[in-house]
Amino acid sequence: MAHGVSASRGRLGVLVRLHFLLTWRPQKRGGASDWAGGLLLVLLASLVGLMAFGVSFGMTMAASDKPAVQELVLWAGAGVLLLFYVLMGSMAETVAGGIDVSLLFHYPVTQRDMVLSELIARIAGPASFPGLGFFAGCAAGGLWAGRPALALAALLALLIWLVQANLLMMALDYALFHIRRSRRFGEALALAGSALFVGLILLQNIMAQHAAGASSQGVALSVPGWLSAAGRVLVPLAPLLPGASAASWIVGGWAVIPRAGVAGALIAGLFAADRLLLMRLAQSGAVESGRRPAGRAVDRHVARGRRRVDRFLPWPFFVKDLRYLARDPLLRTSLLSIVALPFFVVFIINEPSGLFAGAWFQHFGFLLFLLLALSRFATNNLAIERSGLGLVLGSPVPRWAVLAGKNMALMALFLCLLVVPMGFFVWKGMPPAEAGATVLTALATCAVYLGLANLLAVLMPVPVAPRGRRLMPQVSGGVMFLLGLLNVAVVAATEIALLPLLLGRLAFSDAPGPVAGLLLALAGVLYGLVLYLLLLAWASRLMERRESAIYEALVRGS
Amino acid sequence: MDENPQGARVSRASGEAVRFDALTRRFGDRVAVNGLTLTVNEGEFFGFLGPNGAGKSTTIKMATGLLRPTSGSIRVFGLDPFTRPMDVKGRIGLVPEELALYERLTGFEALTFAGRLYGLDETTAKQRAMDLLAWLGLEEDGGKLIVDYSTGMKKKAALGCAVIHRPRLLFLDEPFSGIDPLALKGIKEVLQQMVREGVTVFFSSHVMELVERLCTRVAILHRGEVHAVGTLAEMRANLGLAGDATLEDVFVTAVGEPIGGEEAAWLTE
Repeated sequence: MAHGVSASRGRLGVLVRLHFLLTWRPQKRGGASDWAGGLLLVLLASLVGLMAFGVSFGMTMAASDKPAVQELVLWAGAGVLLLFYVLMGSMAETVAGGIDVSLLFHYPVTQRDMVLSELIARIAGPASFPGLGFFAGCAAGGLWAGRPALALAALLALLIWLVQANLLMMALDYALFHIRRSRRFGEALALAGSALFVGLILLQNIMAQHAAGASSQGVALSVPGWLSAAGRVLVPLAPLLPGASAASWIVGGWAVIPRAGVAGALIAGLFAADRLLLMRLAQSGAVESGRRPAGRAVDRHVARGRRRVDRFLPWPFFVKDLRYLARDPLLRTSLLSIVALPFFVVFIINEPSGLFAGAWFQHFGFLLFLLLALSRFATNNLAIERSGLGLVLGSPVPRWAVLAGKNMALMALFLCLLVVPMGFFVWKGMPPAEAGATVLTALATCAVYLGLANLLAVLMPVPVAPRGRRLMPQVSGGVMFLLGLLNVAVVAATEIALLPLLLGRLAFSDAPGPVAGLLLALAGVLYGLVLYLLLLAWASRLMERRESAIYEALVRGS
Repeated sequence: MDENPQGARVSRASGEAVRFDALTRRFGDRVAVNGLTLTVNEGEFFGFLGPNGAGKSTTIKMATGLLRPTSGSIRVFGLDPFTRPMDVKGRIGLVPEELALYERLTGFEALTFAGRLYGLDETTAKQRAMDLLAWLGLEEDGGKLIVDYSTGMKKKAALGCAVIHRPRLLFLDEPFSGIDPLALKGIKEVLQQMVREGVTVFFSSHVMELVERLCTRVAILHRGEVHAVGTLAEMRANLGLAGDATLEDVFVTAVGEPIGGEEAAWLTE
């Protein structure tokens, strides 16, 4: 029998099958019978797809006599879906369908086959369902309204969108995979990305004002007016943007040809970029370097300390987690990236419609942005240290202290993020008492959010590494999708739990004066603190009961 | 080694399996491999010995096309692994130190998958997967997910994935840690049999006894440089050691003084 094999045969089918299996196979170990998990995932993804279908179908139907609006729905939907895709990806570390390609590098498989198989698997993955639902809804709406051309355009847009969006996400994943190799490169990339992001927001703001004919002081436009103005600026750019370009050629006529050409060129460019990035990755020694640094032991000097603060049980964990978050190159890179978010808040406050300058936004809207930024570290917080968690779980420390220490570290990050928008509000003339009340409300919100996030971290510990690192081989793409959805659900639950406080602040925002506002905010903090302590007690009790399951999920085999 | 084991050993050698010429790899300021020049012949059971951080894994990654060298060249069966990666990867098998396994596949699925990636047809891949599971003592666990395997079982599965296509050259990076003695004996016998049939094994380890017992020739690597290379007898002679010196004696002489001393005296107080 001959040694070795011919290396030229295509392995595409085998790779697609692998991707599919690892995306849809349930997370639970040891049970071939646990296909219920996979079925649940299918149902959940279908539900999201159906919702998207309903929205786009309804919007297309409602504008049955306005073809221009129908087309706007289509291309705006393509853009919004791409944003959703990126958001889901950043919250669940990778969009469903991604597997650890570094495990394939020593096999005789071409980069072309790797990219193609991952693309096919991502298109067939759960994260594609919202896109499928949305474009199918547009197509159905078009047919219903007697516009078969729109239906055809929507279906073609679906195909182009799925390919472009997935190739783009893959390029991001491959590029980010590199950054752990070099701290400086990672940080430079994060800073450049942040600067680009802020610059684009600023540019969009200026262009929207210019298109609306507004003066430099800004004019309060209506929301539809603002959308229309932004549309006038962004529609011409749409053919050049991955994702949005999918729907940009629905203008019909001869213009279709160059626009379809641009969409095709984008696909070819992204595919080539994916192959190149993967090639670089394959020759960077990535197979072994996915290993995460071990968790740090609690500093014995801190543990033995005689100062009062050292005797506070969560303190060593707070110090450790803060160091861990600050020292890990990728976590640090992520933190630098999300520094862009407060800037985003600052700039959208300046937008001409005044939509984000209202009381609702100053009272809780911006908190939503900050919580979303924090969510990637908070809702799966036990997984951050992976194998180091073995040390924590083996220590004779009450579990509430472990969780509280982590929460304190995250709260410190939250406070850093809070500084920028609060500084801006004060600079814009917010009275100090109201600013104080807003900070107190923010702290209460963050505390409740962290309390809920603890529950999710204990109930669903997923062995994932920060985005761009090696995806842990035990995790299915479907579970990542589910984790992303649950992250959003925790943020939503936080807002619901704090509704009494937020509504109270809105209701009394004018009447009782600054001191009364502060008192109200203090009452809110008390409410948030009590809620947090209850949630912490619940989570720590759950953690004690689920300790072996958490160890199995996060530590063993890490 | 020279006293040893393999019988036919290098006798089937028909050429060079691997050749490194002035191979260097830097990670920033740190030099992991420094001007390594070494040849491994076909049919050798070659031991690559060195302490932690010596550059063994880095060298293997470069030889298998997984890490570009900073300078120098590598030839595997005369081919450059970076210009002809598919040809090289199709001829070699690799068991990396950090096992490259999809843990949510069953053992049987993982082996079949590896076989298919190496170009075997479905029927052959499945048949070989069954045979390998039996050889590795995993036949009863073939239907379990790999995530439920012990460390030793994972090592066995990784070994199965690396040999399913009958490679001409097998790179083993610390392959035997965590494997029980019974299975270890069986695996060693099969590896020795493979070597007798002309397969080259490039075996990286820091376990002296294993290397001494299995390997026909050894290179001792320290801080990225080769400090000694040859059969045990050749190295003894080169280093001026007595005829009964063990590989450990050779290693310590070649590398320098053993690590340890007064730093942690409190441990034994």
